[in-house]
Amino acid sequence: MSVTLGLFAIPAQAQTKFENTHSLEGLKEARVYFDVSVKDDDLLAVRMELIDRTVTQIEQAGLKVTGVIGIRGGASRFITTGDSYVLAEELDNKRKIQQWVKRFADWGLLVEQCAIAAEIFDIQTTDFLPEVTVVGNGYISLVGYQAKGYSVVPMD
Amino acid sequence: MNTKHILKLLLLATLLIIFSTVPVTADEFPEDQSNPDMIYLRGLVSKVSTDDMQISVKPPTGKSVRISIDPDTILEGVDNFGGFEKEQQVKVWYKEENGLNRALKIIKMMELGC
Repeated sequence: MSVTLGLFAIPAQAQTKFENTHSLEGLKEARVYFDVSVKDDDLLAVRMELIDRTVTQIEQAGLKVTGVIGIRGGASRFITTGDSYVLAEELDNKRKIQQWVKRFADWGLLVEQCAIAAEIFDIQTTDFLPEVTVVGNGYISLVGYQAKGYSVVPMD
Repeated sequence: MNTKHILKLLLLATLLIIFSTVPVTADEFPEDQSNPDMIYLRGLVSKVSTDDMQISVKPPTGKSVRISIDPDTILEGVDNFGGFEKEQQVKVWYKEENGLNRALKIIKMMELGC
């Protein structure tokens, strides 16, 4: 598992060598909706790290970040409590993802879970982490946030 | 007893024999529940054993259940045993027979992004 994660690790120099000055110039706030549906536990753990880096870099550029992480599809299994809904070999990554969700919530990001996905994957809505807000339809959430000016970052 | 009565009895007996041997149809698998004739299980495929023609299915909580598949198993969502892979969502109706959990029907759920 650690070897696989190593292969997917993002090089640290990628964030220090280049800037995003041109795109962020003149902005005071960034509203972003991360649309997360990736079902592979290794990739999902990396996506969590990417969300963290992205929000951190935007804040370091001087912007206020208002963020929503919308979970749907196969990613839904990993933001439940305890060890349920995943295979034994996925447990390590699930625990890491649970910690990411708690960190994001403490940071002020909203973590939403699509109720339709929960039903499809036979997940009891009461089994999601306490930091998670269950919404009726993740697609509708995406539509609403985009209409309010949120940038949509797909993570599938 | 006259001929008409005998013919009616024969017809009735024939119908009884036919309907008593009709194989279990797809409509006879109760959704999300077990009954005295079969056990229902839903979960993730945790292992595929090609040699044994078995898959292991892990429910949301609890241990994996090993399921045997044979030519009489009704399959939906996959064409044959080779279509099963780890982490697929499946619904299984099975019967305990001779120490094995014999699959009566397996539905491989569609992988929807929503």
